[in-house]
Amino acid sequence: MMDDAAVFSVLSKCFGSVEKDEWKQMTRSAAWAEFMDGVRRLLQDDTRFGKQATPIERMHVRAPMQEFLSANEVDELFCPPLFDEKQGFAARHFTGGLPQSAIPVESLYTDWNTPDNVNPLIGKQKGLYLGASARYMRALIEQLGLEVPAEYADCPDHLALELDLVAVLLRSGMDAEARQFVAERFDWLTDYRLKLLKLDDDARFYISLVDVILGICAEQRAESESDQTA
Amino acid sequence: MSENAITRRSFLAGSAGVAAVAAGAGFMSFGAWEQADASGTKDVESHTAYSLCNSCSSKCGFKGYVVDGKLTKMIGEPSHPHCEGTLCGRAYGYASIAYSEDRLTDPLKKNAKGEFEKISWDQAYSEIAEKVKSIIGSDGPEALAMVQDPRPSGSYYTKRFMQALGSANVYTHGAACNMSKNSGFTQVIGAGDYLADVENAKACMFIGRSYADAIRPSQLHALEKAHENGAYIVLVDPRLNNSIAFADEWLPINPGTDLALVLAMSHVLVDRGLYDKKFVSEQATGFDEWAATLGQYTPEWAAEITGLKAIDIERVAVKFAECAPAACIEPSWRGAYGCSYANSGETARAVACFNGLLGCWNQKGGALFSASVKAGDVDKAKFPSVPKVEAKIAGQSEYPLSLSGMGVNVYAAQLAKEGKMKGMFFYNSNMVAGYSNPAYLQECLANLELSVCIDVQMTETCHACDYVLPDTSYLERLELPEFYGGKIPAVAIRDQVIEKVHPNTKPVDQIFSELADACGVGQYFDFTVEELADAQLKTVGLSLDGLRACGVSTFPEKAFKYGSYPKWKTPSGKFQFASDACEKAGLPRTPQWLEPAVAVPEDGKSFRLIGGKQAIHTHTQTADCEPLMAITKQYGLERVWMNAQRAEELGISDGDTVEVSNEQHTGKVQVKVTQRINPDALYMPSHYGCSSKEEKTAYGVGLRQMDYVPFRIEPGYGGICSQEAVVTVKKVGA
Repeated sequence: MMDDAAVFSVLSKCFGSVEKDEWKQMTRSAAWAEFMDGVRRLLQDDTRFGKQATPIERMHVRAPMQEFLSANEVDELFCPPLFDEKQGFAARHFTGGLPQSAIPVESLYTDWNTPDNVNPLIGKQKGLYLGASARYMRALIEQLGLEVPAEYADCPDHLALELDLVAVLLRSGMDAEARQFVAERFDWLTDYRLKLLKLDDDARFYISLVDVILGICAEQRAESESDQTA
Repeated sequence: MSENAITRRSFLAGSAGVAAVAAGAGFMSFGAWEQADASGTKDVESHTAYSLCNSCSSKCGFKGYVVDGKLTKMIGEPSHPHCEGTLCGRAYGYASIAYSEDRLTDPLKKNAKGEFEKISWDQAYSEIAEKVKSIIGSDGPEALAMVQDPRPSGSYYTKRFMQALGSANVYTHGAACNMSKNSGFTQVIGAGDYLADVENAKACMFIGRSYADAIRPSQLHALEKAHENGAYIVLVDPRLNNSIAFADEWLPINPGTDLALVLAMSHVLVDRGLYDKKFVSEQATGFDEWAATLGQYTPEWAAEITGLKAIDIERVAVKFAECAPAACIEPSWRGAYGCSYANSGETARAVACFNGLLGCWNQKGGALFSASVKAGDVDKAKFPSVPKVEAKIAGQSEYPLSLSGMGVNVYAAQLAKEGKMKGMFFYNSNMVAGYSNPAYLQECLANLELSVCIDVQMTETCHACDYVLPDTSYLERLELPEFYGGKIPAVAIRDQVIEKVHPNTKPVDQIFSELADACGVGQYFDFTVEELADAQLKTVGLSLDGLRACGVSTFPEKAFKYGSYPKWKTPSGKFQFASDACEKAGLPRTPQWLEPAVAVPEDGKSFRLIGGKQAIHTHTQTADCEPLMAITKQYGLERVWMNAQRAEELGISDGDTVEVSNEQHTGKVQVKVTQRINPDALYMPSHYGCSSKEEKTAYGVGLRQMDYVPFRIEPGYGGICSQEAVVTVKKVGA
């Protein structure tokens, strides 16, 4: 069974750049089925990250994915793109400066400054690279003893890195921190989803992934709130 | 490789398999980070660096303050000759380009569907080089051309690259800017430009130029001083521009008729014997020939053409003669006769001649040949000379008065349309949107076998090319030293202020060095920009480290001195009222009246379309900058200006949406109805109407002047005739 960290790792690689062999192995039917099973679990199990479910808690029938995603989205998720298709989509949309650019970078969808620390030169702008979320991500990554890869120097708040960080936190036993991170970071994906929807290209696979991430975030938030209520 | 190994591999933790953080590593919530960020308790790196603004061609010096990797403050450098410690609004607003969402981040190639796709640098270089070699093999290097808007490193590397390939076809933006003016001046004074000593002038005339709109801070400082000194400042412009705050008089001339005004003022001086006879007899040639023709150009004659009063023309001319030699016509730039009309070059020639009548050359308050310093020869072993290209730049024969250092860029495009130019490169140049009719230029570029554009954002020119290479912004690179002429010459450096934002972008020196390597001429680029900058500076007794530490260095020992007349670098060695070269080019030997190419029909609904800068923008370059465009939107600066009386006749009110049309284009925009414009002119600011959807802030705001301008090249001089366009205007819904 694919654990939560591995699910986030696969999600991360869907938005990041990977080698052909790596993608091929990740998307082999057996491996992908495990990923889908992990997604299904994270979308519906009433379990916080890292919490061991009791036998009673595990005793229920999981709802099908269609309960959480549209039928089309489920179909898309079950058929990941071939490597060349993934590369082609990235070449058209995960590059900057084009009308069809849809780079999954948080800074481009959020305020550049924090409310209490406005850069006097840039002012209150949105849609710029290396905004507050990027500065936070870089600081956090470095504080954790990790390193922003050179190819992501312009976007430490790239979705691939944010998802990867969740995987790292979970793998490190920092479940509460992962939950907090998930609760804080992914709201921008609703705007990003709109951007993907506007593309002339077929972006359904990536829209489905975004919906999965938003669904998992909602589930984790609900769990946290329920814990607090309890 | 197992799935487990794959899923455990992490972008952040590398492939070591751990993909986990060390025990005890500190997690910090966004809220905690935000608090520390706001309180300044974080340990952040800060530094400063000197650079040069890139929001216009003035290249003003500033010190950039960087905190935590971000540019937080820019302070104009007091010793920089163009800013004197003051930066304009564009400098601050344009700085955000470094972080813009619209930045190009990767090399792009147009696919079969006409869409751009990311490719690797290696693929871009190898495919471009293959096409370059193929074109040279089939058509020779003269079938390749480069168009660039000069910047410190760009000027050097683009020229060296083309020369290494064997092509002389290196064009600046000049034909669409100031080339006709500079070429016209050259026929008279043997130099492309001069400096008006505005701050010491008793009288100064500005024709189609506004220091308060196309801002270079030091010039505005000088104008302010002149005004405070009581100088007589007169603006000649179809539009009352913002320099009126420092001026005494506005002459709302009919567009395209400045030549008639200058000829009539010359007539007044010669007719009344008010010209500087000593200067004319000692320094000039061809005066008698010109003087013999001036009799026809009376103020009354000029009044008919210019729309001004004869009495005013006469009064102004006499006033200038009284103030001479501390008086001159300021050289202007693009607006009136840089490239605007079929008579632009000849207007420039007349302006220089009028200043000759004033005898103001190199006199205090007059027209100056400023001092300059340039880098000397560098070590040939380290920086080998590129073999001299014997061929002339394409267009030199057809437009013999055009300055070869600028070249007729639109002629190169025309050759592309004719299938004679096969490959073109563009660096920091948005030719398609700004140099002539965009639809025509797109057709020209579409005919090329190879088209490459290097820029920071997806301009209309990028869109028309097959390959787009992403440049770093000016804040992210060191460039070669920039030398400035002036009363005291200076040199300044554009140093790297912030780290490269996008890792897959490259600075111009690297792009052309690597491209040269791919094209087989890499032996001419076997040095770094640091090495060359240092070598160039050493030739003038400085060093790169030294200049990096102070930003600007001046050469007071080379300072300009008033008094002696300039050395005229003309064929005759004299100040030339008459030009053999002009005659050879089919123009009169002495400046004579020449109609603009296009006349405005007196049908009550037609206007001559004129452009012009606003203080917050530079052509189309800054329109995609959100802080600057916010000002445009706040004040409705994209509106066209129409004379109030004409508006009333057409039933148009201030704020109405109007349709502006001609054979080239039709578009709708709001109108500003004002007394501040000549009745024959419709002013359309030159910054708007962006058609590149990639430039999200600029796209769809206002109309683009060039869409209405037919493709035309000024005979002899090669200017683009940017104001040879007539439009009709009607109220939408009327």
